[in-house]
Amino acid sequence: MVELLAPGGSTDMVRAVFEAGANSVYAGVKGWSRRASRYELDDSGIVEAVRIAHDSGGELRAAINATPSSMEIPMLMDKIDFLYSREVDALILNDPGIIRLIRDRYPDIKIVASIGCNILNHEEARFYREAGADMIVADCKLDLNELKEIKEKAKVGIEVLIHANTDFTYLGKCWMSSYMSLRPEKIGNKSYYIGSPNRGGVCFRPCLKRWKLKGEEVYSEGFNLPNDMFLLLEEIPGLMKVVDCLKIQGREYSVSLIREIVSFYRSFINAVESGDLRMDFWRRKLMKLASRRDAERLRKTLELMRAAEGELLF
Amino acid sequence: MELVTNVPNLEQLSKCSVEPYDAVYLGNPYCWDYDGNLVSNMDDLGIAVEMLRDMGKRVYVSTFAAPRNRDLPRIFSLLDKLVELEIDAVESSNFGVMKYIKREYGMRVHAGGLANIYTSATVELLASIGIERVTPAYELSLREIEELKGSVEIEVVAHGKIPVGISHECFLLRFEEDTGIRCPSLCRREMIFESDGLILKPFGSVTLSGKDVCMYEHIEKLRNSGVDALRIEGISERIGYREKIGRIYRRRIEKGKSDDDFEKLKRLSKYGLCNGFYFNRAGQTYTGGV
Repeated sequence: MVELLAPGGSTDMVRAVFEAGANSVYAGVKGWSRRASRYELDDSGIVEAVRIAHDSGGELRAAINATPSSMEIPMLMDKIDFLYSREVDALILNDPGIIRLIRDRYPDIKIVASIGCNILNHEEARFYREAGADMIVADCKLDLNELKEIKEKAKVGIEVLIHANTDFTYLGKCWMSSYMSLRPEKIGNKSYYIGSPNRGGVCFRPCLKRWKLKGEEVYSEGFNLPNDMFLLLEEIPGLMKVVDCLKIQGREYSVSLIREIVSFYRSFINAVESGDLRMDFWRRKLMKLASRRDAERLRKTLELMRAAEGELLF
Repeated sequence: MELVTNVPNLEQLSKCSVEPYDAVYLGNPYCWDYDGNLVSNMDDLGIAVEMLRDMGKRVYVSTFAAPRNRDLPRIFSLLDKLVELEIDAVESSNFGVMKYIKREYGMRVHAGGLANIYTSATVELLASIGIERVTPAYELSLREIEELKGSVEIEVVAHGKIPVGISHECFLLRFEEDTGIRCPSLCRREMIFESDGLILKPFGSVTLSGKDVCMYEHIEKLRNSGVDALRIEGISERIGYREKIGRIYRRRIEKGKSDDDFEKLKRLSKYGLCNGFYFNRAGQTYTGGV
């Protein structure tokens, strides 16, 4: 049976997604994940999230998928020791060398190679498996046939995103935001970089600015570089035959919205398993959720753009 | 330190001197269909390798930077040819391809800048499978690059446009109608994306910085950080750019700084200079001679 993985941007959200039918939840470790720190959990929050997950019969995955500096690896390993001691079930990691270090230290913990690894082919999936990953998060642009081939040839678990966004670039391979604006900050001794999603800060979403294409003249103007949110539906029955885990992104959204999204997908997965494929019915329900989600996202994009403008260094 | 550059096709190799360089990467890793791309034209590749050998240069070849499953057979077939041509190293930005090359061919491998190598732990992992050289993630500062030295050679971009993103598609293709220019001519024209003073340069599947990263004032800092090879990134530039920039950096390495040469660099960089991320600032910032 496919696993439904949901976001835990707060302990309230962790509780809500299990009530809504998630099998497992992922939460960012403060200062160490690919989201703003207000959507991450501190040590006590992680401990509480583990308790909620285990009481619900589910798993807690700790996201430590912002890439640290080499100098921070000892600090990271201390954090891993803490998480392991508190019975976190799995770690979401971005750096293959760190995956190898942790696999050597803790042979029994589940390791997921993050979306930020940008794994695009079966040889690369095999590389991550051999480094120590049990599961990889496939890039959103891979189609079902590619996923099948990766699964068959790399023999690794596959997680796919069913609520996320497809960026102009491959996830994990974009530095447009930090090229535009970057603000190094610290949480305790841990550095993170506002403007760099790979390094733990937010993305300022420069792709959503109004762009011009210029050469000898202005050929086009007022366009965005593609950055589209998606909520999968029709693809899910096919995915359920191939992948191991369906992931809903959205630590930064409201608890009520995420609860509804999880509840929707739980109902839909159950329906698919029982042979109910009334896609028009499910599509109509999903569209209502999508407009709520779009309104929340627009507010956040405008917030991020204002933050970036305060720091531009032309 | 080794001075290297890249050349996408035979036309550019023929019309521009690579005399200032010790080694050259052949091929455009961002688009198989780039006009005359040496990694898509085996006859041209053979000629290019021979030309560089005659000049006494080391020859490296860049493979497609973001390969999906469907690209792998094409890369593997290219590798067969590279063995035959006895080139000096293959560049790849894909960990799976790197490991495959080592496992199946044993050739010298350079890990490219788009591989996202951020930590000493990853450098050690790559060294353990035999990778000889890495280009660290472009976002790393000099201090962080210093932490990587030891088990492998380090290469960095000393001058030129750095990638700020790579995609599954060439976004420029969406503008064939607006521009009236078709592929493969489209990306060979001077085209930029501009918004509120921020400039990016689309080029096949990659988006490059508008400004040219310039480390002319800081070569000693690069050397002290353990850098072994300096790259002049000229893949998207007009013919002549890499020769002029290469001569300036060759003089810089051998004779030291020159105000005149630095002024020339400023003039050659249409959208200005920046330091990338070497000083822990936003990539488009130029910090000056700190």
